[in-house]
Amino acid sequence: MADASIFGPGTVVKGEINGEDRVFVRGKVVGTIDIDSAAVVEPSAFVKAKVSAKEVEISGTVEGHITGFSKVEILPGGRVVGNVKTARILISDGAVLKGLVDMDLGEG
Amino acid sequence: MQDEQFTEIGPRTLVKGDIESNEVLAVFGQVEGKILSNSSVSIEEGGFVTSVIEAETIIVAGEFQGEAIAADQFEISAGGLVGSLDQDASIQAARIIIAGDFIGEATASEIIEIASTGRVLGTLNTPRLVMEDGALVDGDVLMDGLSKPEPVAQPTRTSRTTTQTQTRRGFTRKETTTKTGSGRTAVPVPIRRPARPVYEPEPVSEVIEQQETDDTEE
Repeated sequence: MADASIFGPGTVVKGEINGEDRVFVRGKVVGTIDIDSAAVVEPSAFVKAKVSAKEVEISGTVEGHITGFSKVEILPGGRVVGNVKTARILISDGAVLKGLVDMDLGEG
Repeated sequence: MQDEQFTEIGPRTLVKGDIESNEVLAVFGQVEGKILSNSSVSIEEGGFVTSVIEAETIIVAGEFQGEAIAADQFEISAGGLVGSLDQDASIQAARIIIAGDFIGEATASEIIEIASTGRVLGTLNTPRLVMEDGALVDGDVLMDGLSKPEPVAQPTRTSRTTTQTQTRRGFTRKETTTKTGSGRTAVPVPIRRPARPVYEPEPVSEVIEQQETDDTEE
């Protein structure tokens, strides 16, 4: 099957999600997402977790610190409460961000 | 996105923790923890789940270790494995279909069916049992209405030949301590039957509260 993990709107995960698959969250995740691929938080999603991924795309709600090693994108409807650490950040009109942005300039 | 009511855990994903779901859940990767679902849970080929599953239906084509309760059906597909020689699995369901390997104790309220590719090492509790030609079962079959066989009572022997009774007594004593009790003497693989407590799931709400308080403390 597809090399992706999809957590549907009727699913609640309490714990850690790890791995190399792309992760799509449409439901609720409480805990930690730490993956080597992209994490996509879709509009129906509620994520109360520390998110660490290569790329993070948010159009749902994230409460927690976010690390996107290559990119973080907050799309319209996306709501983030937490600090964002990334090399590149894109914030669309209509997105909400409450927290610090720490852009890694590649010096450290 | 609401139309896509399913969850799929990819082959290179590990979830450690609890999953609650009311939609179809397919595991291609690995889950360590508790899965509570009022829909179906499938462990696909290559998928591996340990700990506890409670669901309406459970299908195992990959591997499962632990305790599972299916309200309706529990199925082990050909190639699927439930339980291991190190750790018995415990499964309960209305109907249990075994076409793969099963090691442990299975309790069905309606029927257990073992397909020709099915192999069982352990105990089957069921009112009805169907086995296809080729199915392998090594263990106890306990059917409703028949009580568990008592351990073979040691007959009181009058001393006929003293040497013979000594050895036989020694043998039977040894046998009674192993608790297998069914009187079988030559078992190729020892089947352990630990007094496993019946799994009582915690109420979901309590689990949530507990977890959330844990979160706030952090």
